[in-house]
Amino acid sequence: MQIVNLLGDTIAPLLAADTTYLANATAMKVSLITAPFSQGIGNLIGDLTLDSSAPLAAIAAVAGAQQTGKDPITGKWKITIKPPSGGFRWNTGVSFAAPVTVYGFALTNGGITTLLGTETLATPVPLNADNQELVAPELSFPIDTNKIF
Amino acid sequence: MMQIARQLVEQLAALMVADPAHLGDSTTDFIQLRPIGADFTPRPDLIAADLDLAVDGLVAGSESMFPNGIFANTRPGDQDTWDFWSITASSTYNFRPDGSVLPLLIYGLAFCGNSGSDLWTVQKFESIVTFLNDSDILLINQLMFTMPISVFSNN
Repeated sequence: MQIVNLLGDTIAPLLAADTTYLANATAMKVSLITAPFSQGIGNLIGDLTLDSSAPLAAIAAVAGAQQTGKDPITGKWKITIKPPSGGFRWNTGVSFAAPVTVYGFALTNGGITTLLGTETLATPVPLNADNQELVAPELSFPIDTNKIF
Repeated sequence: MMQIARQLVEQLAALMVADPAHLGDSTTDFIQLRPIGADFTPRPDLIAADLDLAVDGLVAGSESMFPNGIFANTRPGDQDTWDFWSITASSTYNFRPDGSVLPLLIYGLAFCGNSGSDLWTVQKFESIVTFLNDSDILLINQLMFTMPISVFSNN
């Protein structure tokens, strides 16, 4: 069956406002992934190496319903994770003594116990000196309802 | 764009079938499967008014049939494809002519909400179903639409 917009348009807002995960009262967190990983739907939190120590610790998103909208060109829905004031931005600061290479970003629940999504970096980024900065790209999930049939 | 994790897709399937404004509405005749009595082209922007959903010449009770709840399940060996399905309380959707309009042509099926006012999904038959006798019957084992994992893909 071909899904039509009246039903298809409910899907992204439903997930974005779901208080179990994306709209939980405890803000989700974005962590740096600091070991190579193979991205897939089956990724679990335990499959990933996440940096948890300052200054590269996880950054909280904004709690509550996330943003939804349609791409005006493709017509696809997307759910965009609300970044905090200042963005998902990591800075090694001064006296940085724990060099890492960042391979991507992990979106998790607030307790960093459930993986919700991953974003890869096309080129891994080494952080190995003071005052180096890494800013995550827009973190969003595509939802192409035209593929529901 | 991010890769969604399976946990979130599972949650979405559960949310969809429980949504009280749509698939999760438990009012008896809120959700309906209706035959379509005129030719149409399936496309995302179709609405109920675009289709002939009030087909004359069908036995009373088979102009629209009501699912017995909507369910979402994965397939054996494919935990990333979700089938949304339902049968009727009497097991099978069956559409029959009353003999007043023959031949009677059926072009497809519409899955509707709001007692037939809201169109949710459509299926166009590969071949038009033609009722020639009042003993004819069109049996549909189940209503189903599928959410493959490619819904969440960038491609």
